[in-house]
Amino acid sequence: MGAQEKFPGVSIVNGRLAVNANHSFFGEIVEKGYRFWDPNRSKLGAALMKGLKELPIKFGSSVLYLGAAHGFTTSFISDIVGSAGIIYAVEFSERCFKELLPIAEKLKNVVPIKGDARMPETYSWIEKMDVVYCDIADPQQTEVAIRNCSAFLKPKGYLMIAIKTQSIDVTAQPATVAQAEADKLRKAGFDVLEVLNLEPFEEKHYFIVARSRA
Amino acid sequence: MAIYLAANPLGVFAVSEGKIVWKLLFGKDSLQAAKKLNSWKTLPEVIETIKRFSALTDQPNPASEYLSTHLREIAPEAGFNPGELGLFLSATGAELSKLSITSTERRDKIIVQAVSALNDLDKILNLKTERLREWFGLHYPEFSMRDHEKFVTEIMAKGSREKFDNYHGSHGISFKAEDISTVQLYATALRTDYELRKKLEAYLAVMVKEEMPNTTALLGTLLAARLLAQAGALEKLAKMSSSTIQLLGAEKALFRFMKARGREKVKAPKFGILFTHPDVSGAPRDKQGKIARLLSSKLTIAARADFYSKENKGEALLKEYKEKVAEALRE
Repeated sequence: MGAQEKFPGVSIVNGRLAVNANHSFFGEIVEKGYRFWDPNRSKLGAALMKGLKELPIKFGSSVLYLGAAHGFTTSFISDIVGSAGIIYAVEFSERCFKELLPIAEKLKNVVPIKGDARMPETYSWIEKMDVVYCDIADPQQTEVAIRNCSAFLKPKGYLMIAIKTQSIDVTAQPATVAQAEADKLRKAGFDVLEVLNLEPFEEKHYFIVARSRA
Repeated sequence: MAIYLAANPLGVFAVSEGKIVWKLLFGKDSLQAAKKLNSWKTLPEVIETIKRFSALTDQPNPASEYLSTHLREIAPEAGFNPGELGLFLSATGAELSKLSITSTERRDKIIVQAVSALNDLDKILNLKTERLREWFGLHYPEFSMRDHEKFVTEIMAKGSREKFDNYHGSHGISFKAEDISTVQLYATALRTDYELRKKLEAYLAVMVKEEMPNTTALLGTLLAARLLAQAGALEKLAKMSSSTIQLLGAEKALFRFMKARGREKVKAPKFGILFTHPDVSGAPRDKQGKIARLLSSKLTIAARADFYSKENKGEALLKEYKEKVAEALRE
């Protein structure tokens, strides 16, 4: 197989994205130790396929994942951070959460939290993180991410945010919305490292990687 | 110096000037830890400590900040080696979340599912009845019966065209015995769907009146249930502005209008599912929007009363609403 490692634990195998793992939760294909990652179902997967330059999520990282939904992307991050890492997966929707819960219980390095990302004080018992990953469809998503960073991000930590431009402003150009959100991050004390357009995997979605200056 | 209290899955800790001055460990059992963390401020030892130190417990505070920064250092003192900690946190998070799920379940979710089932059933009934009409129409095209349910019942009972009253010959094709028995079989199955629909509607009527009496007073049971289903939950409906309620079910038209931003001749929608209310659909065209607005403004109050106060003011709201409608129609 033509396998090329892009980041530790993340490879492109014959043109397809994969992590090193042997389990399968959503019917994804597992072959010879590679667990294939459908970029159409995961914004982080899409960002990796679109040429993400730096992946702050590494073996042993602690990640706060806001908007974990059914746990698809979460399960791949779980494979990357491994047993030395930990993911705090926050999901508000009860329906999604009920599907996330059994997967989290199997993965063992995922801490499921049924909570509202807009109110970080309700889960203030968690620890400081290397990375905050935010994927919530909320018009205030960037503000919510920043608030969570100021509560839980370690100094010089990373923020990864998937921007659904349609839930911020349906009438504006998606690129304009993404730039406006990047500016908000700069004002809040972040260096914006990358802004990626996720087409054709996700329409009108952008992916921003930023790093806290403090 | 002020003493702050905060809790995490390991226990409750009192922190002063960056040092832990008191602690209560929860132990290694995840379920117990989750239960204690869920209501840590009411634990007797904690209440005593709050009194003794006049400790501050609002979250977040310097103590919660200290705990989240130093969790990994505190863990060995609580008896966890690094390998165990992740597993314990994961299990405790799961238990804690399960506690919050069971405590927030409400009856309105059942209504939402039942309404959706009813909506599905309506679609199925139309589809199947149409098929039966075409199918049986081959045999007896002259037979007319506007009411769907009666039509189905007739075919189920009679089957062959010769058995119908007032049968005076037909242009349709003749059916063999097995053609007739198959059509009858289909009609019989369809008939049970109509029975199911009636039962569902009766069940919903009782549920909706109990769960949202004020909204029901204004809309009747079926429309109230549909409005709830459209909103997703009673809490959501209660938090909506009246303009949002007015346009529930018209999201597509609303976004089309917003995208056009007045550049094209796209008109703003005036109502969504509220259009099915007889006051709105029965009003003259130029008054429909106004009446939908009056209705939704009263619905906002009704939904809030249903969710928060549980106070019964349906009749008063209905009276006020009727007066305003009469006034609007006079103008």
